[in-house]
Amino acid sequence: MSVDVKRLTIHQIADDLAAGKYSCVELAQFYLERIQQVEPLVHAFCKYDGKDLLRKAAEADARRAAGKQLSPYDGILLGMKDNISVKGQSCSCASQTLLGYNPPFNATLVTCLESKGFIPFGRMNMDEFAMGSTTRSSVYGPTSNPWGLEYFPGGSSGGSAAAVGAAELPAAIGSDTGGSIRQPAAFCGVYGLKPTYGRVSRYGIAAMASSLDQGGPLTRDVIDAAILLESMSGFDPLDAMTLHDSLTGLADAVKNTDAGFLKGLRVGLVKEYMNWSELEPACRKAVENAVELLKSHGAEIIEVDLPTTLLATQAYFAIMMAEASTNLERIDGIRYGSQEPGKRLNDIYLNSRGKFGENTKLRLLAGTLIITKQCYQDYFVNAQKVRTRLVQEFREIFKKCDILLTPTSPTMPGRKDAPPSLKFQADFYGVDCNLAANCAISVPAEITDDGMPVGIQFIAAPKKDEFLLKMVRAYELCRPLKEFIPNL
Amino acid sequence: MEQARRFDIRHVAKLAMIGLSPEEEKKLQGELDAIMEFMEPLTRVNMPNVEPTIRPFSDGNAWREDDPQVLFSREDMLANAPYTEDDEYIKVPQVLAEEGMMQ
Repeated sequence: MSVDVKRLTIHQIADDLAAGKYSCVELAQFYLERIQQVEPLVHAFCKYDGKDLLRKAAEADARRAAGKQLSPYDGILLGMKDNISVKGQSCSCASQTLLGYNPPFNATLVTCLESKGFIPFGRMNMDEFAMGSTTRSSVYGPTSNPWGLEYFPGGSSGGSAAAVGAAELPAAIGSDTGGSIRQPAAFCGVYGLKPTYGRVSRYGIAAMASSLDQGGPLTRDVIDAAILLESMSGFDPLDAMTLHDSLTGLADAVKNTDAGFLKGLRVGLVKEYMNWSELEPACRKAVENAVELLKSHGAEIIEVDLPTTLLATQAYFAIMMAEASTNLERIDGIRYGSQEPGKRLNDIYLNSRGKFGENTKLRLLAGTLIITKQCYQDYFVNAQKVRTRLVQEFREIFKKCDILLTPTSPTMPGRKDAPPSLKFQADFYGVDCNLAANCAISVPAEITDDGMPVGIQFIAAPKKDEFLLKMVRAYELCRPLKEFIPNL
Repeated sequence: MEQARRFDIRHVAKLAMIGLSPEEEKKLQGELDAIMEFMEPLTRVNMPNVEPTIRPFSDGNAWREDDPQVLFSREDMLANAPYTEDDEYIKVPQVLAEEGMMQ
């Protein structure tokens, strides 16, 4: 039999497997065929191992036959961004400096997903060390946007987003330090969830900026986002910042939400976001149309102020680069990764770290500079004070509203062949949530006349992940456009 | 108008232990200047009574028993090192400048 993988979701697959419509091995074959067909165009993977997938799928089938499946999702494949450690698979962070590195352990999120039977399959392309928003700085070469191959897919989780958008995978996991799940999700017509900081363990995700990093799913609908978040969240002794409460029952709660959830909902519109000069018309229009839709279903729209956001991108870059520069000190060519020759130890350090890409070098240099005595107070500490102010302003906002509606990205995706530029503005709607630990999700809202998808972002206060996903489920049920499938 | 601050890329690259070619030095100096100029508004932040935020959110401290645990074997830990010796050590070249000379 044949199945239209373009329309498959995790929960649909779970139903199909339970009904015996196809086996896990057949499911794997459907996707391997799809990959063979479109991967030469999209290039979403750094690497994948089809034989390993088929072997693990056969094991899942055997468990099902014996009535011992690990969960309804046993045997479903997932992509892993190339900065997430999976034992036995390479993990290079798309960097030449880490080529050949095979982590001797699983990230905690991988262990959680494997305990439910999910199969980590494929290393998804990304910007080198998750620094960037185009997936063009990878040592494996750039990824294309499945909706228009001449455009980039966003980043840094661009491979994860493009593969799900192109239906090469039912879902994938990414990481988000300043919008790196949400922005590529918007560009590729999929859902991208950045959970509350601490919801998903960071253990085994190559650290970039530890006070901002968070793992999360990229999916084809919000129920799948809930399934994956429920499966991979929870307290982890190996990450002291993880939250203590569990999200058991999340997926069912989201599935059982209806459009009535929107009645009386207080939806905030941030004036500074909507009035920003860099916001392109298509991205603004998607938010405005969503406002009208939410209003027509009984939501109340409230305008709110977030003045500190105008300094937040600067604060984000100062903090992110400073933390990244210290985290990436570990890349030295001695204990793991690729070593460049040098007469003395220092030469090895300089030469091996000299193999970082230009974009990474720039950020590590700026980060190093920011924490020198000369700059520490003026840049780093002041950035942390801006962060405090931003957290306080969000706290006030969430007394007045339940949820915020914003653009995900100020712009539509750019062309792959455009010269790289230092565009800090790309992160404007992303970074605030990482600085303030909010949970946020990008949701496909519209398709432009040019055939490109537009995402909008919903933001909730820290720890309100369940509320956020229920609200998005209600929106999804009302949204006029039901399918986001590229012509590929 | 206040003169923009200049930062010497060679000095920063030395601190960051990142090797740069002369061409890269030239190119990245311009980009470093641009990135520092972008962040320059932070230097004018005047929030004397605001505490800096190090962690955005916390569920309280995470305590555990002070028991040492072995997560990885020596073999696992050495498996990724480019050069090892006797399956016991990571091999590196000469560290000191010359024999007997402490620098």
